[in-house]
Amino acid sequence: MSNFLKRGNLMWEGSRMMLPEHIQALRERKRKATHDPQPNLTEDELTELGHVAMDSLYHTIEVTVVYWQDGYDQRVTGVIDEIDSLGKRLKLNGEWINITVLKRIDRV
Amino acid sequence: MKKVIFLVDMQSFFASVEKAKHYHNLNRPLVVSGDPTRRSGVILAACPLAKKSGIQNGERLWEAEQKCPGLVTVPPHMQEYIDNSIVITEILESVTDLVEPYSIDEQFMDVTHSQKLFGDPYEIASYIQHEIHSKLRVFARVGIGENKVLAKMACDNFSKKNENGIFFLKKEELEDTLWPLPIEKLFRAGGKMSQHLRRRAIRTIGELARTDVNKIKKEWGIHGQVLWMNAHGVDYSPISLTSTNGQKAIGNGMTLPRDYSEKAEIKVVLLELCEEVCRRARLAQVMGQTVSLGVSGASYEIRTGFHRQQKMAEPTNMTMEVFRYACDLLESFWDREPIRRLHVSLSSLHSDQTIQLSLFEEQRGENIQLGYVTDELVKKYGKTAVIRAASLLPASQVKERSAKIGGHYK
Repeated sequence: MSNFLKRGNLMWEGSRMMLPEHIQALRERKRKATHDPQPNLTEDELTELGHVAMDSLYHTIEVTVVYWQDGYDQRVTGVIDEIDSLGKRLKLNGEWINITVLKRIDRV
Repeated sequence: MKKVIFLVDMQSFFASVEKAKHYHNLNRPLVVSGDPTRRSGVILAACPLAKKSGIQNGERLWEAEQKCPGLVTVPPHMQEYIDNSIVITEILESVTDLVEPYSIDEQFMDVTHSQKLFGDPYEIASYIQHEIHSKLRVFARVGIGENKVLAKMACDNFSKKNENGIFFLKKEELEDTLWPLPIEKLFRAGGKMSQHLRRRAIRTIGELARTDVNKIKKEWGIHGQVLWMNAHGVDYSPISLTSTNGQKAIGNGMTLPRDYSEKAEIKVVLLELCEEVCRRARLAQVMGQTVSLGVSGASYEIRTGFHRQQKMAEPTNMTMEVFRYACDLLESFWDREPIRRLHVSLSSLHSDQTIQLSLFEEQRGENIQLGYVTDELVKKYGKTAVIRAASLLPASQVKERSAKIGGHYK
């Protein structure tokens, strides 16, 4: 056995005094640093999503919408209430979502 | 190529932050003190001026006031210190991306490959000092070494005494620098361990370093070997960027405002601790299967108490389930003496996406959901929006703790 132990970062992680709130803040910062870029769907992909959205609107079918917000994916499930084709946005559970931030719409 | 590791330590961090805010007190001795009417009422930080009159961290406020007339006392603002600490992390990251916070006022960094851009270690160190001081008015000390343990000991033993706050502890020169120091100055040699070593006629770091490692291993095992390595300045630990990522356990502890001796009283705060721990688990979307309970007895002289853990039947983040096991532990190991401090933690963490439904307990799924719903309420309306009826009892600490971080006001 060698006289020198190699045990990774154990001595330091075991001896440090970190407040949970401090670790939380560090994590939050790291999370923010790893932002996703805004999605940029092609016309074809948007048309595809449009079909699913229209079906949901006319036949009250539940869908899951995944959209981008400040670097993160948000996920909402519900029936699409309204589609504003001029404003390029759709309404789900009372909230407007711009189609430029859409990532996916799937039937539940 | 030898690495160049820094340990950057803030001089009287809390006190310096407060001084930067209260600029008119710049030339007066200042201390940051916890609430003097409670147990947390000790000196958390004293500025260099206050330290000159002999004030030490951890003293009671009245002791400090006696030593130093005209002392300015300010309450702590923990959230600000955390925010400032993160600003410092950002400053350090402008030099290298290899930065690892070690505590709220100490951070490691690896500048090996930043030397081409920023100059030699001394230049980088004074650049960092300047950046931190101009942004936050806090004086930073830098310990330099070829690994973390050397950097840490350079900072603790030399940089803090240096005029410019910078010291490079070189491995080749240990015999003249580190080794003459008393054994207590060795990193990780605590009071008890130093006593043991002194009893074996090991009084300086050098005497430990010159002792045969096999003898040390035989006597003190791995811990002795680690100390021997530290004395030789050998440490293979990397600067870890992920050390705050993974969570192995979630735990919270609290020091009680007075000693609790009634079981009913203890259970009230135990339940509140379980709630806090479970809430953090739910927030992190995990469940734990092992619950551990630590209890410290009231007396400072005769240290009593226990730390025991128990595995639960299923992973859970339900407050009541965890509480039941914590109570079991309390019942079986508590010596019925008054207690000063409690600690609950949850480990063996699993994802909360899969749960074991119970055959005997139809409501389990709903009960688990209940926790998440209360969390939503708490998130929206504040920590005291929904509390358990037991928390209305005088023993409760919920109100007190909701305004605090690390036992001190935000």
